[in-house]
Amino acid sequence: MDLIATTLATLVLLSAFWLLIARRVGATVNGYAAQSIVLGGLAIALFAGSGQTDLLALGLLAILIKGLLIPAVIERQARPVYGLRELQYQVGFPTALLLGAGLTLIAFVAAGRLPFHPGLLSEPVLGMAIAVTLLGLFTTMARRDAVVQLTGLLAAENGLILVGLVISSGLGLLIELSLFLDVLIGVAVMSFLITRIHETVASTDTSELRRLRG
Amino acid sequence: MLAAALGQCVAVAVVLLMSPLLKGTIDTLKARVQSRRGPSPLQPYFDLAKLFRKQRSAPPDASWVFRLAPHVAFAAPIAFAILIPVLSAFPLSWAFMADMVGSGFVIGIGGFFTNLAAMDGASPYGGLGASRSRLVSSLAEPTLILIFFAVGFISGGTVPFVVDNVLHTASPLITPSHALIAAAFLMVVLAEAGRIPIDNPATTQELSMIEGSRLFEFSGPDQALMEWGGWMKLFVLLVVWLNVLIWPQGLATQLTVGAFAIAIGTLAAKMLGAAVLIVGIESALAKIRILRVPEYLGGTFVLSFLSVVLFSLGR
Repeated sequence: MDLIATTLATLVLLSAFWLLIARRVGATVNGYAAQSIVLGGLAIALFAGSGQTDLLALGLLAILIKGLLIPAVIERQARPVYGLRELQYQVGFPTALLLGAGLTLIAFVAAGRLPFHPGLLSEPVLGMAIAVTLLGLFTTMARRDAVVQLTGLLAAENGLILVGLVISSGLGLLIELSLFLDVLIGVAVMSFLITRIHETVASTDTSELRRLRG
Repeated sequence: MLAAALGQCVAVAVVLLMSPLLKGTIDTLKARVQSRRGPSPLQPYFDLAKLFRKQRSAPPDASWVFRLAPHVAFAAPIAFAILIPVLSAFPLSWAFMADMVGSGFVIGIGGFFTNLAAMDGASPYGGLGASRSRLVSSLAEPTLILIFFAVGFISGGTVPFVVDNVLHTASPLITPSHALIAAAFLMVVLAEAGRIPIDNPATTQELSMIEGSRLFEFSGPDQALMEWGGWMKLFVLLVVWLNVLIWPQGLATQLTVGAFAIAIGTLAAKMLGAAVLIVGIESALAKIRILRVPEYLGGTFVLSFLSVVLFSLGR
């Protein structure tokens, strides 16, 4: 049981690394979808271990909304904009991977320092959850195209859900549900905005925003 | 004592004789995937027989390094085969000569001499291939060292036989850190042995070659030794991956003819599985550009690093 949970959490962490270096929109969106589906699988595995039905609902909702719906929305909006073009980056990929490895180390050390009450999940998963959050935020800094920054934020949110699972075995169904719907609407709005911005200025490279300084 | 020495000889002979078959099997399967009939799996043996009958020639300016290199490149994987559990789960006579770091050094000597000889031949492609293969190896080095650390952490030793023994008896065989090392090691093996996605062994396009361009100046028996050495290198690295990191079951546990025969059979079956896996990888992926090699090997570094972190801090 613990082994399955740790393995699934490791896969979530690996997909966070994949999002950091994915080159195309398709790869990014698929990486995020895979991460969310594994996260949902983790919640369902926890349900199988403990019998808490809100974990089952959380898992199914994560797979449905984060694994299928949000990727479909981003794909639909961003595919015509980006196509098969390679996305821009701020930090080179080998450097980004090394920095990501450093962030993981920091996350594990931090998780070791936190007061931890063993619940359904063991302590390494807390380290991995913090690492996923940090890596998602790092992705928004290391990449320049708006769509990858969006998936980076979403990955960070996945990490927060994982933190919630470790600390209190889910934040409570109502909170999770409203969170999911918020994120879904946010994603719809943001990807619509990305498309509009691209139509207007023919680029979503955020480093161009510097030119707005007076 | 004599029996152990004989067992050692059998293991080396298996590496010598089965490595061309592995190469032939990969080529045949790859051709089938591409809807070609392809050569017979025994083709590498015919190639070797042909090359050994041909004349040997060397560039006029080449030194003794050029003449020595094929022999070193051929001997290094054989020496490596002595140090790893090819057929038996228990250490044979010379198994404790070197641990994993030492055996990495032994297999590195072959590549080192191949590079020297490639530059010694003074062909521009040789120099190109040598510098590229140094790029790959030097970037693979941090990953390998981390893998040794992780293996040392998990099993409490770095001698391949000890590691094999610990993993043989470990109760959950697959833990995340174990799986991460296995993945990282396979990626490094593919890079070191010059397979897709780092190098295309079947290419005829000189400018994109890494491994192939180092062998241009060799002919006849020299070329045969070089190529055979390359096949053995892939074979022994896969043996480490299969028998130490993935699936130690099937190795002989006593020194009897029957147990060794079973071990040879299971090794052949495992190698067939590895060949299918390699064919799958090589059919699904394209060779990556040389400037992306650091990303690929950076990925292996992250995998092995995560493995060490998970094992040492995540308890």
